[in-house]
Amino acid sequence: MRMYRWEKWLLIIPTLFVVLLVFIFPLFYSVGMSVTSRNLLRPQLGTKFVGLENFIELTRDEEFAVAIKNTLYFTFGGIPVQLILGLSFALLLNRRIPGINAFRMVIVIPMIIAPLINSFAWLMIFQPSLSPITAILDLFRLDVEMPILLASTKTVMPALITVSTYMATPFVALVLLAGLQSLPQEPFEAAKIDGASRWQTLLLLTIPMLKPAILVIIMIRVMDAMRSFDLFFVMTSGGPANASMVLSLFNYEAMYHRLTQGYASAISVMTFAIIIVLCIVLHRMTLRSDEG
Amino acid sequence: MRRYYRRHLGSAGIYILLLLAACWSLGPILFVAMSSFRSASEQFTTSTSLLPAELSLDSYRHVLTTEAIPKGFLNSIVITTSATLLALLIGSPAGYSLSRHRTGGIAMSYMILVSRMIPPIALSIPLFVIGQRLDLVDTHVFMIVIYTFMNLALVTWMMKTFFDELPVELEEAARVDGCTTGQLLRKIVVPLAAPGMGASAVLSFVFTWNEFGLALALTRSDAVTLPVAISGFVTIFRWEWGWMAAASMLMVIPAIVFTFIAQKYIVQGLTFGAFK
Repeated sequence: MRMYRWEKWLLIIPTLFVVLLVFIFPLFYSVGMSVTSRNLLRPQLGTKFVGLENFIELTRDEEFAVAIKNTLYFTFGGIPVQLILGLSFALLLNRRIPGINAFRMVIVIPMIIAPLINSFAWLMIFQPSLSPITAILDLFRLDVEMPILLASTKTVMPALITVSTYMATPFVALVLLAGLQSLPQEPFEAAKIDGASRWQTLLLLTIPMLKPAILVIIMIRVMDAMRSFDLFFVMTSGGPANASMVLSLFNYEAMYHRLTQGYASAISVMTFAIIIVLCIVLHRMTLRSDEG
Repeated sequence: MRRYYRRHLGSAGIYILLLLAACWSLGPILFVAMSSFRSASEQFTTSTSLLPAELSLDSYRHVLTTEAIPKGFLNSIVITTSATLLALLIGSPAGYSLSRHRTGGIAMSYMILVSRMIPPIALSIPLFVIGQRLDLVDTHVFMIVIYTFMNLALVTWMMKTFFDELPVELEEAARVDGCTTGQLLRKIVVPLAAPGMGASAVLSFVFTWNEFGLALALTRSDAVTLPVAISGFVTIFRWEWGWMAAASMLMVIPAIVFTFIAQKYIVQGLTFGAFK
């Protein structure tokens, strides 16, 4: 359809303007700040150019190393569970039976509730004196004490991964459900005629055919998990003993508690770098699987 | 006969599994809902029971008479609604331009998509410093501009995929009949795009309503949004679970109501146009 050149740009310029103002410009501003010694607690020192000093200091900062380790653990520890649970949900929901639409809506709910509120809900569930788990244990008169999962360095990350799985599963299930619905029917009919069992069909046919969708999910989940903040802020504040300290929280504390703006910007830049590298690696894997 | 049984037992099994999945999805929020109705005296008893002994509105009464929560609610409504409408106004034409003319090519699409992947805390740092210089931190305007940006990626992408599915022929016919670009957009494109715009509006609203990290970093008192008000409330009354639960319900209900309105488009929006 014909349209003047300036007209089609006119339609997109407001969006471009906002993206430049609130995203591109701050991004460069961040990189700029990361090579300065800006510190709000010591304003008399002013803002000095310090080169890569912040980054060198970061490599020596043990808390930063712990934060990277925990962030990666949180990200990649959760994805397999989320995929298995999400696929089960998608397979369950991919049926034409009465009431299925109601179930689809119900399963989406954890995604609509604010992560902040989900974190509160699970904070209460993990609190033995309130927990419905305790109530259920009492109901069956089992004399078992519920452990305080968030207070031990060993169980805190698995507990947080559980909450993140709760929040992420609807997304995984929805994408896989859409993927399932777009698959061609013929291979499944052929498998049926050949006498393949349900498990064989699932493992040898359905899952390989869903591979593109699975790779997209992994990529989006990696980015989402790397940015999650609400969960850690509400449930643990990084504790106990930094066992749940992640990059976003570490960044927040450097900026708003210790007020070291230069250092905090360096953490942001490093976080970006890690996300971008992970995305490139995953993207390469996607391309390779497309060829193969 | 045996086959008949097997089929029905099979679907009974499916329903049991679906119910389990529903319990997992709804359990935590139902638990919060029940806690919000416990009476003040029941909060402090040591024995736990799944259901509250009586339905009490004590917690809601308390939460609504605080200063912070109603103010946060009002701020959230103002900021979220403004940012949603602005994003719709700015982002829908962009989505149209991207869909029909591939304006700026693939680079433009990527830039808009990537802008959503940025960690909120990392983005808040330069915005905080710039905002402080311009005296914008803790103002409604600042939050509206930032959230408009956050919504733009969603609106632009949803509208692009929406326009991709609308036939071009209608617009071409209108051109042949001598429509100007302005008339074309006003009389043909906007009415056709209305359902897509409605769906993106609802999802933008929900995402902005739920956003916490940026609001926590960039507001102090005047422009505090509901999530920040609730989190502050929790730090002060850490062990007042009933109040916490009631405040949480105030936040959850609008989000759920809004999403149910747009349920038809929810998959496309929530999966970010990755799949239609």
